[in-house]
Amino acid sequence: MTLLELEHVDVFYRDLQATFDVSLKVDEGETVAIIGANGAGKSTLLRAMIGLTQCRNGRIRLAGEDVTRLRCDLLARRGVALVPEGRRLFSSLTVEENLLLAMARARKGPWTLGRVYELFPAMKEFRSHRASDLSGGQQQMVAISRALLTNPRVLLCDELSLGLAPKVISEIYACFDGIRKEGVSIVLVEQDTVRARSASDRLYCLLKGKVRLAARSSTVTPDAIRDAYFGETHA
Amino acid sequence: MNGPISSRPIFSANAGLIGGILLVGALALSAVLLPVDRRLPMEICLVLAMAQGWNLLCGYTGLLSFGHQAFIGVGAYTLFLVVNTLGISPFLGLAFSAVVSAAVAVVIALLLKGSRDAYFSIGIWVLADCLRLLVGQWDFVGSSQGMVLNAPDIDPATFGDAVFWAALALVLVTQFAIFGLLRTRFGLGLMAIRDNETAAASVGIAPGRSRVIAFVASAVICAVAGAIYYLSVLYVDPAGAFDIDWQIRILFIVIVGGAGTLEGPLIGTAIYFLLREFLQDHGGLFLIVQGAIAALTMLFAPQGLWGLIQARTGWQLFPTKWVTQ
Repeated sequence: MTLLELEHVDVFYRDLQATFDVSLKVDEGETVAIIGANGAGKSTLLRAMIGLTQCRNGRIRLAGEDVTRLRCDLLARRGVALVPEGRRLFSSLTVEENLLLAMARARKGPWTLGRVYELFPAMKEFRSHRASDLSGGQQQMVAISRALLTNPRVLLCDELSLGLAPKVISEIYACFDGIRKEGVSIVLVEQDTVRARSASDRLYCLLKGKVRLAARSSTVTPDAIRDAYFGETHA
Repeated sequence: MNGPISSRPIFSANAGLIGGILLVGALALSAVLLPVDRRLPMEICLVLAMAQGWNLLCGYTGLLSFGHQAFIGVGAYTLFLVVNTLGISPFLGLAFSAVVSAAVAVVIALLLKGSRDAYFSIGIWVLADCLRLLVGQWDFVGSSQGMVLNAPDIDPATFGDAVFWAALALVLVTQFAIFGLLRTRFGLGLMAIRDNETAAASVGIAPGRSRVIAFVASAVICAVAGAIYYLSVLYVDPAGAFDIDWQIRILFIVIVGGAGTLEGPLIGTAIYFLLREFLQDHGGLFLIVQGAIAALTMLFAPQGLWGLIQARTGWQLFPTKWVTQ
C-alpha cells in the first residue's frame, strides 16, 4: 500500500525553483533512496515531505490523505519524522532530554527509550552528556533515535553519512534492519550512491530538480545510475 | 511508554533545589525583617520579577525583546484607568493589568509574527515607543502630564506594607512558577525551540504557539510588576512608565547574571542594586561602571556570572535537567 505519495510537486527554495514536476511514492515498509548531485533538489524535496517548505504546485498524500498544506509539527504528529542534515540536536540539552522531547508528542507505537537503547547500546553510556559534547557519529545515533521515538510511519533521513568516517557510517546504516523490521518506511537522501543503492528497495535519481531515473535498486545498473546522476547520454 | 528502562522522567540534583528554596526564603525573610524602608526591597522584588519574566522569553525561547517597557506601561496605565473609572480596589485592578497586557501581547505577537532576531528586537522596540507616544497624546489619561491614582480608601499607614507584600508575592510566584513550567515538557520544548526550531517542529512541537505562550507570560509578569511599582508611587506618566530604562535594567540584570538560568537574574539583580546604592551619589559613575560590567561580562563570561559558576561547579539551585531512572 502506498504510504507517502508526491504528485507533480514543484518546490521553491526562496525564489529559485528546486524541483520540477516530481512524482514519487513510498510504499509501507519500503526503503526508498533519493540520490543526485549537489543542488539536485534532494534536501528541498525532503523538507517539503515534512512541511518545512511548502510546495507551490502539486500534492502530497500520506496514507491517501492530502497533507500538502500541513505544517511541520502537525505532519510530525501524523507519523512523518526527519533526521535532519547535520543532525540538528538540541545542543544545550542532554541526550536523554533530546529523546524525551521526541516522546512528548509521539504517536503510539513500538519505539520506546528501551528500544532505541537496544538499537544503539553505546548511546546509554553518554545519555547524560550534553548533545553539543558528542562526536558526529554519536550525534547521528541520537538524531535517529529522536526521530524514531515519535513512532513515525515514514522516516526521512537527510545525508546520514555527511561528515562521518566510513566505519561510523557503516555502524549507522546497520541499524536500518532493526528499523525496517517494525514496518517503518524509510526515505534516504544520499550523495553516496553505492550505499544508497545497497540500503534501499527502490531509488530515484534527481538531476537539476527532475526525476531522471526511477528503478529497483537490485536491478539498476551502475551505468544507468551514473548517466542519470551526471546527465550524460551514451549513444 | 514501557520498556526495560522506565521513561518516566525524574529530576536530578533535587538537593540543589533545597539550596535554591533556602536562598530565596532567606532573601525574602531578610526583605521582610530588615529594618529598612520597605520601598527598596519592594523595588528589588519587582525588578527581579521583571527580569525573570524577560529571561523566560530571551533565555529560554531565544527571543530578544527590547520593548518590554511597553508592558510595564500598559500594566500601570490599565491599573490607574480601572481604579479611577470603576472605583475598585487597586489590588483587584492588578488582575485587569494582567488581562489587558496579555491582550496587548497577543496583538504585538501577531504584528511581529515571522520576525526573528534583530527584526523582532527592533520591531518590538518601535511598537513600545509608539505606545508611549500614543498614551502621551491621550487626554483622558492626562496625556504627557500623566495621571494620579484616585483611591480615597487607601490607608497611608498600611499602604506601603501592602504594596511590598504584593511585590514579594509576585516575585515568589514568578520564580517558582517559571521553575515549575520549565520542568514540564512544555518548558523543555521551549529550550528545544531556542536550540533548533526546525528540529523542534519535526518532533511535533509547535514553535509558533509555544513562543506566543512564553511571550504572553513574560508580558503579564512585567505588566503586573509595573502596575505594582506605579501603584506604590500613586502617579504614572508616559515618559516614566514606557521608559526604555526599564528594559535596559532588565537587560543588564539578565545578561550579567546569566540568561537561560533561573539563578542568573538573582545574581544580576543583586549586582545592579548594590552598584546603584553605592554609586547613586556619584552621578554618571554608576552608568559608567554598569556599562563596563556589562561589556566585560559579554566579553569574558558570555554565559553570565552564573554560567561561569555553573561551568566550574556544576551547581544547580533550580535544577531543570531531565533524567530517567
